[in-house]
Amino acid sequence: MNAEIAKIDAFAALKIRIKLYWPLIKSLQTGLLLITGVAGYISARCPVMTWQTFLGLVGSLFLAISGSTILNMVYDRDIDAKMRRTAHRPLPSGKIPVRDALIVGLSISFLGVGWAYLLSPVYALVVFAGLFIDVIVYTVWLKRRTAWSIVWGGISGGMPILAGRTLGIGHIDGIGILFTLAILLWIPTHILTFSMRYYEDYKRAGVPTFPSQYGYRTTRIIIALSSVAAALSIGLGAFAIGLSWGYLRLLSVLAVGIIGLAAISIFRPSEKVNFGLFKYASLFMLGSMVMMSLGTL
Amino acid sequence: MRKITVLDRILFLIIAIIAGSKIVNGMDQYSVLSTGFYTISFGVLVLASIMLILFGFELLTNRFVPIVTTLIPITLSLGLVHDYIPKMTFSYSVLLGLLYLISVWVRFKASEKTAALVLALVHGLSGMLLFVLPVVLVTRYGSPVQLLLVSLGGLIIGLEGVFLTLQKMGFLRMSLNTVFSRFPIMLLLATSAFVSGLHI
Repeated sequence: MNAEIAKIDAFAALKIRIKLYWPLIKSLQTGLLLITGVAGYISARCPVMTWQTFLGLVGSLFLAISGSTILNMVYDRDIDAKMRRTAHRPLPSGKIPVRDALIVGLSISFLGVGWAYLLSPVYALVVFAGLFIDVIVYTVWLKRRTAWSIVWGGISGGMPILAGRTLGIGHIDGIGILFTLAILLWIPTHILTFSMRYYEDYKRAGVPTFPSQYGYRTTRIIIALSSVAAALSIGLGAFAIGLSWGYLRLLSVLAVGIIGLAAISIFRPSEKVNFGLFKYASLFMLGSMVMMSLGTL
Repeated sequence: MRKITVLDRILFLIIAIIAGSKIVNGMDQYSVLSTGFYTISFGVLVLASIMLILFGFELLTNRFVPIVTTLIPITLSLGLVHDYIPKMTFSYSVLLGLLYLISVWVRFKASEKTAALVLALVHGLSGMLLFVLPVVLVTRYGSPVQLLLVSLGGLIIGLEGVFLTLQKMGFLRMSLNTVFSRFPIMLLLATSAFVSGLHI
């Protein structure tokens, strides 16, 4: 009887712990990056696809992406505390001890890279590069020094799709680089939109951003152009992997939406249109990943 | 203004998926030109649905939206003409193309009423053809009965357009919210009818 109660207590404690730690991994962002990794793997049209490899891909990427996100949160807890949007996060609000989060972040990062190494050393190298660029180059080194740090944030964001494709074909190829470029160009849409929307927050935290350095108009132009360029890169990549004309037609239609919204955000800017472009670009990215997967399966 | 609900968003998502799957899988039997026409019409349906999900019904009150949505009946009717009366393709394309360009020009240069009138002419002409041509083809030339679904789709989308225009002009007692409340289901029915009707 006592053993049973202890078991239930342990289970409940674990549930509470997971609920507490879950916001640390930014589940939506992690989910989207994970989908790009899976799409990259499927795009390789791998002739031998076992569930063990697929599970390994999903598991290792999930752990590595989540690990790097937790380590970012640990390092950025001081600036998160100064920003209204992020002040409620578990670390700045003191819900989770910093030491515990650091241990969890490091552990699952090592687990992720280790699992990746067991699958393929080249794949593990790309996964590790993503983690290293995100945590060390972007967060620790550049984020507080220059607004251009987003380029490195973009490169690290492009690593999951490159990793997935590398695992599928066994080496890094031009198409993988093209897909990485697409994600790299899509990331500014995400980061710059937030840096405009939460301008005061970033200013208070002392983080250099494009709107604070180059103004809103330049930032909007960069968002618009990078969204269009991201759509073009995805389209080129989709063509290169031999996606059928039907999927290419639909991708073109969706790209017209990005071009239209980008043009409106430059010539008739408004908060609603800018945020709409950001949401549409995210939907476009998700949709193109789904199409690439369905079209090559 | 009626706020977009979760159910509305789900319906628009279904519309985007149905129209999107037609673009991906349902055009192998057409010529290059017809494929182009149908891609534009179903593409506008996909984009309109996504934009409605993102921006809500407020989008429908934008004065430039009718210019884009008019492309649906125009390109659908052009596709039908090219498929069934190919010798009319050129003259019908030139006529509709010219009228469409005039309607865009008028939208920027003339009053709202003149713009609405010219656009109604283009909409009416292409919509009428979209409704009548399948009926003639089925009854007189023995085309598959399924093609009548295109007429049905044209009728549904045309009626909703008429309701919206009459409401905007103050000729309809129905509130804008009522028109908007049934818009997603009407658009879903019209899209399904177009896709099924053209699946021959």
